[in-house]
Amino acid sequence: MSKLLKKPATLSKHFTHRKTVGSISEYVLTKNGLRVLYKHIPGTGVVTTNITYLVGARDEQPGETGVAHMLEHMLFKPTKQDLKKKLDAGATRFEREVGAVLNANTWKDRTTYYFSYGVEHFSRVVGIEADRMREVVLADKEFLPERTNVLSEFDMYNGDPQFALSVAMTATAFYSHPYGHETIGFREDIAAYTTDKLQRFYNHFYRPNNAVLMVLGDIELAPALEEIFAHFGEIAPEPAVELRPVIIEPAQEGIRRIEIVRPGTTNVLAIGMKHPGFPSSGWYETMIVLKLLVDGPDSILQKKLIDTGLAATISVSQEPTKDENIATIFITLTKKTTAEKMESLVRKLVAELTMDFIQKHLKTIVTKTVSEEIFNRDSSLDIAAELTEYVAAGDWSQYFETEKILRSITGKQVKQRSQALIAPNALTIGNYKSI
Amino acid sequence: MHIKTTTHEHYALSEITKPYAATVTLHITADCYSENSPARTALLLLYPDLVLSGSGLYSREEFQHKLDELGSSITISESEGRISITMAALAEKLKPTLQLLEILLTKPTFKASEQKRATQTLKNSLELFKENARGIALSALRNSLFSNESRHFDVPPADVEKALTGLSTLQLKQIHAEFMNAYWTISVGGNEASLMVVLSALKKLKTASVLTLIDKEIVLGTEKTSRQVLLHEVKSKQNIELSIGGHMPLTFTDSDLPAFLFGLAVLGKWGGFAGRLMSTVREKEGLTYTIYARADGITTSEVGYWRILTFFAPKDVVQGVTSTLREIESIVDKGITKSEFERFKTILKTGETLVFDSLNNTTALVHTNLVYGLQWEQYKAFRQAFQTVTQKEINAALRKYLNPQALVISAAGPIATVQKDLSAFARKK
Repeated sequence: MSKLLKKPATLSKHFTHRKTVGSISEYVLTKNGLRVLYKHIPGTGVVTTNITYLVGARDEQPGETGVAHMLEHMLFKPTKQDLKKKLDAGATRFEREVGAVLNANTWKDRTTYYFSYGVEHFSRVVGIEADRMREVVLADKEFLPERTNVLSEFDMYNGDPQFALSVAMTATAFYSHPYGHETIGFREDIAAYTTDKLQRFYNHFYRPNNAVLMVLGDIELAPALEEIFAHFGEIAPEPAVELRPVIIEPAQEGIRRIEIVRPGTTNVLAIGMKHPGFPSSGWYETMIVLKLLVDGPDSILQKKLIDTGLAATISVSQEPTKDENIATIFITLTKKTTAEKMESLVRKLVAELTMDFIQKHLKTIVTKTVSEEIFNRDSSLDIAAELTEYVAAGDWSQYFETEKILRSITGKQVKQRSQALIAPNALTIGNYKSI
Repeated sequence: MHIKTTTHEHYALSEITKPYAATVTLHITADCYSENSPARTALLLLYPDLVLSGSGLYSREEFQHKLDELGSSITISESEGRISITMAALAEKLKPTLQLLEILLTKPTFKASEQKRATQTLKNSLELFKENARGIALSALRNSLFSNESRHFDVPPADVEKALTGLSTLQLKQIHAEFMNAYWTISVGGNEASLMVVLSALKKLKTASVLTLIDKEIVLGTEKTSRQVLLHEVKSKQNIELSIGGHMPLTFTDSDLPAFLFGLAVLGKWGGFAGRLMSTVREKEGLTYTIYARADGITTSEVGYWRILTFFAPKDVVQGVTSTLREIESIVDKGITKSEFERFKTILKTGETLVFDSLNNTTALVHTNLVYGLQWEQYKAFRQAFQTVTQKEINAALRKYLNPQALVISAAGPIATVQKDLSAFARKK
C-alpha cells in the first residue's frame, strides 16, 4: 500500500519536490511547471523515459478529429535544429544509431512518447524530448506522406469489424462529450488535415506545464534532474493550457443503435455500456462485471454462448479513460442465431446475474487481477505504460491504490453495477452485418 | 539476473534467476510434430483446449476456479507441432499452483462432452479464418515454399474442419501420452528459492522420455526459379495484406546465418523505424503504416523462410510492391553501406540489452532459443557473431539467399480491381 516518505536529500535547486508515494517521487521544474516522476530501478543498465502530454482525442474540435494522433506522428519528423544540420529527426535518428525501443501512442485523454535504452544515452534522449516539445517543423514535405500513412493506419483498423463498430458506437453514445470519436479520428477529417491545423494544436498543448516526464530505471536522481533542467529549463509554459473545459454529457434516454453493412461473412453484435471513469471504484466494478461475463471457462457468456456454439468469439473492451465512457462486449455470431436473439439473451443473462454467482467469483477475480498487476509491473517499460494511464486520469499516486480499491468492492456493488450497465439509458447496441 | 542452461536425460533446462523476484514463470515445450495430415493437425489444435477441460476430480470450470483463487495461470498452446505449457504464479502461491499443474498433466479426463464442445469451438474459429487476410497471405506463402512434409506447411482450414468429425478420445489421449513422453524443454524464471521448488516438482513429474518424434532429417523448402504471385480475395477488408518472401536453406548451425539475418535487419528490422523499408516505403513515399522483414522457422536442425510483412491500400498496392521489390533489388545489388554496417552492429546489441529489463521477457527469450536447440552460451555466441561478421560476408549472404527474381508475392484482401496488375509482377524484371 502507499507510503508517504520524506523529501529525498538529493534535490536539484531547480525542482520542487511535490510528493513521494511508494517508490515513486514527483518533482516540478519550478520555472515552467514540467512535472517529473522518478523511480529508481538499480542494476538493470536500462532506463525508460516517457513523456505524457495531457492532450488527446477529447481536446479536438469537430472537423479536426484525430489531429492529436496526427501530431504524434509528426513528432518523429525533424526539428528546426535537425533541418539546420541537415539531419533526420532526433528520435528516429537515435533509433537508427542505437536501436532503442521507442514509440508513441495517443488516446482519449493523453499523448505519450517513450524510449527504453541503455542508461548511457539518458542525456541524448532527454535532449530529443525537449527539442521536439516546441521545435518540430510542420511542413508539407514531411506532413503529406505521413498523412497518407495515417490513412493507411486507419484502413488497417477499419478492416476489423470491431473497430468499425467502435467508431459508429462512440459517435452514437456521446452527443456532447468529446469521447464521441475514436482517437484516430474520422477518415474524412484525416484526409482534410493541414499543417495549420496541426500547428495551432502543437503551439497550445505541447508545453512543459502540460506534460509529465517519467524517468524509471537505473539512474540516480540528482544527475537525472540536472539533465532534465539543462534541456527543458528554458522552455516557456503556456498559462491557458490547463483550462480543459468540463463537458457534461446529456442524459441518455433509452437504447441507442447503429448498424454497419459490408460484404463478407462475419456478423458481430456489440453491446456498449456506459461506465464511470478510471480509476474510480465504478470503473473497477465494471471490470469485474465484464470478467464475470467473459473471462475464462466459468464465465457466463463463455458457457452460454461459446460452449453452446451460438458465438464464435467473445471479447471485451474497457478503456481507462478519465471520464465516463463505454465498455463494449463484442460477440461474433455463428449461423445458429441472429443479432436480435443474441442481444436479448445477453441482456437477460446479465439481468439474472445472481448474488451467489457474484460472491463465488468476486474474491478470485480480485486475487487474479492483483496478481496480474504484479506481473504487469515486470520492467521499466511496463511500469511506465501503466503509470501513464493514472497520469492521464489526473492522479498518478492512484497507481498504488489498485489493490485497495479492488478489495473494498462488495458483491452488492457488483450486482448494482451490472444492472446499471444494461439499463437502457446506458446501452448502445451495434450490429455488424455481412452480405 | 543469472542465466544457466543444462541438458538432462529427459529434458533440457534453463534457469533464469533474479534475486527477490515476486513472480515465477515456467515454460514447458515438447516437440510432438510427426506429420502434417489434416487429422493430426486437428488433434493438435484440439489438444490444448481439452487438456484444460477437466483434471482429476475437477471439471473444466472447477480447475480454472482453483487457479483463479491463487491468482495463477496455466495456458497451453500449439505451434507447428510444438506443444507449450506456460505457468505463471506469484512466488508465494507457487507450491499449490505446481500441485494443480501436476494434476493437469497426470490426470486429464478428456471427457467426450468436452471434446464435443471444443470441436464446435474450433470449427467456429476455422470459419473466422476466412476473413483473416493477413493469416491467409502468410499461409499461402508458407505453402508455396514447403511441401506438406514440412512443419511449416499449413493444412487448409477446410481440410482440418472435415477431419474433426472422425477424431476419437483415444487419439487425444495418445497426443497427451506423446507430450508426456517426449523430450521436454523447460525454462523457469524467478528467485532462487522458487526455482528450487519448481525443479524439485518437475523432477518427480518428468521421469520418462521414451518417444523421439522429431525427424532430424532436414525437410528443405522449394527453391523458386521465378517469381510467383498468389492472390486471395477477402472482400470485407480495406487494405491488401502481403507476405513477400522466399525459402531460406539455413539452420542455426550454418555460418551464413548471422550474415543473412544482419542483412535482413538492415532491409526491414522488425519493429520501429530503423529498417530501409520503413525509411523509404513508409516515411519517404507514405505508402503503408508498417513494413518489416524477418526470418521464421529456423532451428539448429530445420530450415525456414524469410518474409516481408506489410499492407497497402488497393490504390497504392502496385506502387507499394514496386517500391518493396526495388529495395530488395537494391540491397542485393549494392549491398549494405558501411554506415549501415556500423549502425546495425550497435542496434542489434542494444536490442539484446533491453530484454534483460524484464524477467518474463528474458525467460521467454531463453526458452525460445532452447526450443530451437540453442543453449544459452550458444545463443550468446550466435549473437556475438553479429559483432564479428564482416560487411562483405553480409552482402555475399544477401546475394546468395535473397533473390528478387525468385520470390513469392502473396496477397489477400480486396484484390478484384488490381488482380491483373498484381499478377503482372510474376513476369516483371
